[in-house]
Amino acid sequence: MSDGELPDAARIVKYIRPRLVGDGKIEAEAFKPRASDIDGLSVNWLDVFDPPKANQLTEVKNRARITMSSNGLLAELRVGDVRRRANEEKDSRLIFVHDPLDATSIQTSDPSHSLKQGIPNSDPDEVPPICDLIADCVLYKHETT
Amino acid sequence: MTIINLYNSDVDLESRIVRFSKSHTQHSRFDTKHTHIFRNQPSLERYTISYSFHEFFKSNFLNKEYVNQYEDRIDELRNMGKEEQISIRPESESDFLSFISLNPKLKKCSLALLERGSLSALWTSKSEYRAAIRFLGDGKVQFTFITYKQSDQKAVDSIDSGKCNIDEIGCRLEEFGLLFK
Repeated sequence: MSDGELPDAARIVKYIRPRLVGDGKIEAEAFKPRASDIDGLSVNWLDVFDPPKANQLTEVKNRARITMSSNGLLAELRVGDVRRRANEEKDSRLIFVHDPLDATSIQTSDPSHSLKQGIPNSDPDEVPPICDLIADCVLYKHETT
Repeated sequence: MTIINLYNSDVDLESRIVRFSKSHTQHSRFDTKHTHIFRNQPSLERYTISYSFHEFFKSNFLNKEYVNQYEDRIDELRNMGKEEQISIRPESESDFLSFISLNPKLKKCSLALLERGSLSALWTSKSEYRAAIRFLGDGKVQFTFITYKQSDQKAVDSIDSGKCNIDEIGCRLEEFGLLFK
């Protein structure tokens, strides 16, 4: 693990769009980078903010640079769990890089912003199995409102 | 227009569709949508009949307890997709409904809408398995079947994933064996 990588104990959250949640279950495409995610999939490192967790989640929501639907959710995972699952897929090496965002003229800073990298490039219609493995690592699901 | 694709020589299904239509074409409560049935063979044979798509599946397939729930969920996804300018691909929807109706012993799945408009069916049992079938349209699916070790529920026991034709996925489901009631 190099400098800038999140430790195994780090807790992260990932925003999940409403169309990817059915009966409380999360579709794995939520963990696949989109074409626009050139540098990796955005996640937020909760531990950057002061506890308790409710405060940490509020900070993430308030600093988000995307619009979170009230019907979406924030999926909480532990980096170490995801790394262990990724080891099941021998061709994958997931990297979680801390990538804090500075304030701009219209946006507040986001010190929790991080990037998940290493999902293999694939057919745009295909969801790599590692994404399903990651989806099964979700520890908690938090409301966005 | 409603399109049903038959991906094998399901003569019985075809005859049921034709019998149903003949008995209902004069019934005023059904609309007069024309439905084309394609048999997915190199030389396509086309049948044109009139019937109500939804009424046919509700009355003729054993999984009707779930049909209404799936229809409601698809409508919900259609509305969600509008917010992101994502439309459900009609061929994906058709393939999913055909698959569900022709596999009446499957447990109920959850449904999601993928970025390119395909429907994804998901079955999970947190300590046992995760199974996803994504309906890409044109009779193609992408699947991922995962089982976890009973002794260590955080450890993967098996992963099977890939793409295949929709008429092949049934065999894979039988091999997986965990999705049936």
